[in-house]
Amino acid sequence: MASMQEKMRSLVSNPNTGEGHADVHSAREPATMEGHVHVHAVSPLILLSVFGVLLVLTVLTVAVTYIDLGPANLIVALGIAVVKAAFVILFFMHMWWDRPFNAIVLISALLFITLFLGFAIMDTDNYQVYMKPPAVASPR
Amino acid sequence: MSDVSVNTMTAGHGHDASGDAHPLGTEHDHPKHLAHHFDTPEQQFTSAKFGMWIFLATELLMFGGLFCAYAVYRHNHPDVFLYAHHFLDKIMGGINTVVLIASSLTMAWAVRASQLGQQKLLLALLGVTLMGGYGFMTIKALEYHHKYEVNLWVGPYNMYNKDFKDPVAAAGNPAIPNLKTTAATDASPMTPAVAGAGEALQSGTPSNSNPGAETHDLNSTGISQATANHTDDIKAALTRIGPEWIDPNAGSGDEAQIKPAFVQPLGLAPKVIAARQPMKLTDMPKIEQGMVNTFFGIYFTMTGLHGVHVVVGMGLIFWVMVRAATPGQRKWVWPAGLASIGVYLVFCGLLTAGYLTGGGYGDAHAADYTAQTTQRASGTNPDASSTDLHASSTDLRASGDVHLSATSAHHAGAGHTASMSGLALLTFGAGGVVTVAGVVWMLIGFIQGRSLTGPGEFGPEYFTPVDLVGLYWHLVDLIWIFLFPLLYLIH
Amino acid sequence: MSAINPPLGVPGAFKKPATLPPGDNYLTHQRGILSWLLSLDHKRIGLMYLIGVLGALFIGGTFAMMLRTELFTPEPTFTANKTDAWNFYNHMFTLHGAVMVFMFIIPSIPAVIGNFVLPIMLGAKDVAFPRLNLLSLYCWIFGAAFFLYVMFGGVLKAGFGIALPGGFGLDTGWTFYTPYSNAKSTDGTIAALMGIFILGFSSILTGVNFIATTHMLRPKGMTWFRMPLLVWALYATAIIQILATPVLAITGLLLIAETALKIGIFDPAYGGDPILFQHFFWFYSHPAVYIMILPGMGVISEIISTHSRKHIFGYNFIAFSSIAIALLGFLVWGHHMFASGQSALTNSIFSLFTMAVAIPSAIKVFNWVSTMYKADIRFTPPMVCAMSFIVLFTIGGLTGLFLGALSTDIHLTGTYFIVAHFHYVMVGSTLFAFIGALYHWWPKMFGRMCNATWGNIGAITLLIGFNLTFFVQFIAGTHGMPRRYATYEPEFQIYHQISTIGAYVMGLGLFTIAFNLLHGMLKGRKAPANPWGGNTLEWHTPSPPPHDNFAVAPVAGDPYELSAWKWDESTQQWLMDETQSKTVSGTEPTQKHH
Repeated sequence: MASMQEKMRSLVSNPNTGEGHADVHSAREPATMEGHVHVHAVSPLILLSVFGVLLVLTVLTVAVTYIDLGPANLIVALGIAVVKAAFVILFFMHMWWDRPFNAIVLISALLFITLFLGFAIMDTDNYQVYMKPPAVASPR
Repeated sequence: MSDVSVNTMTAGHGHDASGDAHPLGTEHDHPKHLAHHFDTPEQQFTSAKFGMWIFLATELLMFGGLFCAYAVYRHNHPDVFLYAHHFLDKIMGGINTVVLIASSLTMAWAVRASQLGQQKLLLALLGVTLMGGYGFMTIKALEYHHKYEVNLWVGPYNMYNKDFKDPVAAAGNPAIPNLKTTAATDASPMTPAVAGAGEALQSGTPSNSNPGAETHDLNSTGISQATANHTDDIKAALTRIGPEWIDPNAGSGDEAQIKPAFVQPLGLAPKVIAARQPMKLTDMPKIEQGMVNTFFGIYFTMTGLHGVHVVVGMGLIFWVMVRAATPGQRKWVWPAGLASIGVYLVFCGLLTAGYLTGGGYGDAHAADYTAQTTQRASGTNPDASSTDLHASSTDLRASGDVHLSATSAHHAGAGHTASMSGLALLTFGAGGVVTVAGVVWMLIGFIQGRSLTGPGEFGPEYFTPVDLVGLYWHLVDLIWIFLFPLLYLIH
Repeated sequence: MSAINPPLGVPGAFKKPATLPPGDNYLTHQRGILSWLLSLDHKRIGLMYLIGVLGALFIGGTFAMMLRTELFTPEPTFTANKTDAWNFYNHMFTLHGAVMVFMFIIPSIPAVIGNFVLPIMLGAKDVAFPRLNLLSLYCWIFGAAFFLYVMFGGVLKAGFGIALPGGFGLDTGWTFYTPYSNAKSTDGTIAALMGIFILGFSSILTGVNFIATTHMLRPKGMTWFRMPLLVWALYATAIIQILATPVLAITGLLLIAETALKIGIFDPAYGGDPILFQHFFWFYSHPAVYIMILPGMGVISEIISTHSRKHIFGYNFIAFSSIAIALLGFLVWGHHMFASGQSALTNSIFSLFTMAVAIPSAIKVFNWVSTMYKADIRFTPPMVCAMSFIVLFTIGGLTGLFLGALSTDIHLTGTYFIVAHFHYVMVGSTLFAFIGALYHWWPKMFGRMCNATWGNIGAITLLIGFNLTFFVQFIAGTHGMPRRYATYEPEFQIYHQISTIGAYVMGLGLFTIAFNLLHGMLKGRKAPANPWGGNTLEWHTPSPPPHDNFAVAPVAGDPYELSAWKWDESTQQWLMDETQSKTVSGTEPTQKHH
C-alpha cells in the first residue's frame, strides 16, 4: 500500500504547476526572491489594444442588430459577447499569465452553468407541447 | 508578450533574503504583509488570488441562475422579448458598455501601476475607475427613472401589469396625463427610448426600413401627425391589452395551464423579422400581451442585481484608493470620496423630483399606492378600470401638443412644476449635506497643506488588494457584456 | 495579503518560542469573551459553530417531538380546533425541516468538525482566510437569528395566538414550492428567503476557505494522496458548496422578486414556468444532500480505520468516490421532480444518473466493511456510531433505489416512504457521523475523555429509537400514508404510535449523549495527545492543541499507517515507536515549519 501511495504521489504532485504544498515554492525559487511575488505586469500596449478590440466589438454587436440574420442574430450577439468576455478574462484579468488551476475553476463554473441551463431548457421545451391553451375569455 | 512584461521580482528589497533558512523560533525578519499562517508572500498571494477566483465562480453561478430564468422565459415567450425590448434604450446601454469597458481598462492599468510601484499613477487610475462607476450608475439612474416616469416600472407601476391602475388619474390630477412621455416625441438625448416606445405602440404608420428611425424618425418629421397617431394608437393599444387582464383560469384546476404562443428554437419570431419593423403589441397572441410586464421584471432584476455589484465594486475601489494613498494624500482622498457620494445623491434627488427629465409627478405614484392597494383589495372591476383608462387616454390626447415641447420645457409648459418632497427631498438634502461636508473637509486639508508624496501601501512586494478588487471589477464588466446584448439588442 | 489575512493581533505573533509554555493551548491562549467573539482561530470558530449547531439541533429536535406527538392520534392534540391544529402542524413541520436542513445538517460536520480538524490535519496553522471564516460564522448567526424569528413568528401565531411584530411564519415546507409560496402563502416567504440567503453565504465562505486551504496549505510530505479521507470528503463538499449554493441564492432572490413584484418567472398566470422553480431549487438542494452526507462519510473513514487498528482499505477508491459523488450529485436533481410534470425525457435521464450515483456510495460502504474485516475492532463510542452509520446508510441508500426508479417512484412519491428514506440518509447517517465525530475529536477539542460505557449506551439507545421511529414509516408509506398531513386514516395509527414512541426513545438517547459529552468535557480524565492511536496529523499535537496547532511544523506520511503507534498501559495512551517506520507522519524539528 505504501508503495502505491508513493506512486500516486509522484503522479499527482507536479511542481511545475505551482500547485501543491508550500515547499515547492521555496525549492523552486532562489532564496533571494523571498519577500516578492512572482507576477507579470501587463504592458500598456496590450491593455490599450484589448480596449480597442472591445470597443470595436461593442460597435459591431450594436450594428449587427440592424442586419437580419434570422436565428443567427442571437448566436452572433452571444458569440461577440463571448469573444469580448474572453479578452477581458485573458488580459484584463491576467488569466493568460495566471496559474492554470484558476482557469479550471472558471471553466468548471461555466460548465455547471451550461449543465443547469441545458437541462432546464430541454425540460421546459419538452413539456410545452403537453400544455393545452386555456380558453381565453377576455373581459372585453 | 514577454518583452513587454515586467517581472517585479527584479525590483529591489532584499530584506528577509535568508528567511527560509531560519529555524522556527528565532527572531524572524517577517515581511510586513505576510500573515502568520503563510510561509512566503508568494504562497499568500497565490492563495488569495485562488480564493478570489473561487469566489468569482460563485458569482458567475449566481448570475448563471439569473440567465437561466431569462433563457427559459425568452425561449417560451420570444415575442414578449421582441416586443418589450424596444422600450430599452440601446444608445444608453451602449454608452454604459463603453463606460464599463473604459473603467475596466483603467482598473487593469491600475493593477499594473501597483505592481510597478507607480503610486501617483495608481491613485489617479483608481480615481478614474471610480468615476467610471459613477458614470455607469448615473446613466443607470436616468434609465430607471425614465422607466418610472412612463409607467414601465416594476409590479403595479408597470402599465402592462394586470394590477396596473393609472396613478395620475387616480390621484385626481388630470393635468398630468398617463403615458405622457411615452406618447410625446421627446427630443432629449437623455430619453431616446421614449420615441422607440412610442413607435412600438404605433400601429398605423407604415413600416420604416431605416434602422435609425427608431429613435430619430419621429423627431425630424411629421411630429404633430405622428403624435396624433400615437395618442390614438396608445389608446387603442391600451384598450386592447386591458391592464385589468385576468387569467381566465384563475382559481380553477387549470390554473397552471397556459399556452405558449409558439415555440421557436432560438427565441425569434420569423414573421416579425420578415416585416422588419418594430413589433406591435397586437402582433402577439392576446395571452402574451399580458406577459409584457415580466420582461420589465426580468430587466430590473438582472440590471438591478448587476447594479448592486457595481456599487459594491465602487466601494471596494474606494477602499483600495484609501489604502493606496500616502498619509498626506488621504487628507483629500477621504473628503473627495465623501463629496462624490454627495454629488451623486444630489443628482438622484433632483432626478427623483423630476427636475432633470420632466414633470415632477413621481410622488403621485407614491401617493396613489395606498388608494390603489385599497382598490385591489376590494376587487377591481374591469369595467371601472377601463373607464379610467379611457378617461386618461382622452386627457392624453387633449394635452398631447403640450408635450411636443422640448424636455426642459416639459414641466413649465405643462403648467406643473417639479415637486420636491418625500424621498426626493431626503436624497437631495442628505446629498447636499454630504457634499458640503466633503468640500469643507477638503478645503481644510488644502489649508493645512499636507505633503502629497511618500510611500503608499502597495508596491511590487504587495499589491494583492488592488489585484483582487480589479478581478471583481472586471467580473462586473463581464456580466454587463452579456446583459447588454441579451436585454437591449434583441432582434 | 493583509486585506484578507492580517497578522494576528500582536505584531510579534509570528515570533514564538520553539517550546510552548506548559498548559498553553488554544482554549487558554487568550482570555475574555472578545477573544472568542473576534477570534480568527479556526478551532475557536469551530467551537462557536458547535454551540450554534447544537442549538439548532435542539430546536429542530423539539419540533420533531411535537410533530410526532401531534401524530400520535389522528385527532388534534395541541388545540381543540382542527383548523388551528392543522395550521399549527404546517408551521411546525416547515420549521423542523428548514431548521434541520439549513441550520443543522448543512453546517454540522463541515463548519464544526471541518473547521476544527481540517487545518490541523493539513499541518497548517489556520485556514487560508481566517477573516472570511469568522465572517462565515457571523453570517450563520445573523441568518439563523433572522430565520428563526420569522419561523417562530408563524408557529407562535398559529399555535398560541401570540403575534410577534411582523409575525411572518412559513408553512410551505422547507422547499418553498411555487405557486403556493409566491401566490397563496406569501407572508413569510420573502423574510425566510432572506434568512436562507444569508445562511447560504456562510456556507459559501466555508467552501472557499476549505478549497483554498486544501490546495495551498498542505505540509511537507503531504501529497494529494496522503491527505486524510476526511479532507478529501470536505474538499468534495466544498466544491458542491461553491458551485450549488449560489444557485440557491439566486433562487431565493428570484422568488423574492416574484412575490414582491409579481414578475412571473415561475407564475403561470404571467407566462412563467412553475416547474422551473423546482429545477432551480433542486439544482442546489440535491447537491446539498451530498453537502450533508459527504463529510459524514469522511468522518466514518477516519473512525473506522483508527478504531479497527487497520489501514483503510482502498484509499484511492474512497478518495475518488468522494469526488465522483460530488460531481454526479449535480446530475440527479431531477429525481425530486418525477411526479411534478417534468418531461419524460428528462425523467429518464435523471433516473439513469440516480442509479449511477449509487456506485460510488456503494464503493465506500464496501471499503469500510473491508477495512473492518478481520480487524482489531475497538467498541468505543465513535466506532459504535460509525457501525450504526454503515447499517443505516445502507438501508437509506437501498430504499433510495425504489425512489430513483421511475415506475415505483410514482407510487411512493409524497408518502412516508420518502420521509423514512431521507431520514435514514440524513439523520441516521449524518447525525450518527456527527455524534461519532464529536466522540472521536472531543478529547482533541477539550483535552478530556468521555465515558465510553455511557457513550455506547447513548449511541445504541439512539440507534434503537431511530429504527423504531423510521422503519415503520417505510411500511406506512408503501401502504399509502401521505406525508405532511396532521391527520390520517385509523388503519395507520399503529405505525404512527410506534413511530412516536421511537421518537421519544431517540430523544432519550440524544440526551444521554449530550450529558455524557458535557460530563466528559467538565469532569472526564485528561486526554493524552493520541487517545485512539490515529495517525492523522491532529494526533501528533497535544490535546488540546496550542494556538498555532503545532509547536514544530509536522511532516506528513501515510495517514493510515497505524503500526508504529503502540498502546502504553502505564500512561494510558498511544505512543509512537519512532524506529518502526519512516513512512509514518511525524515532526522533524530541524525542518522549517511546513
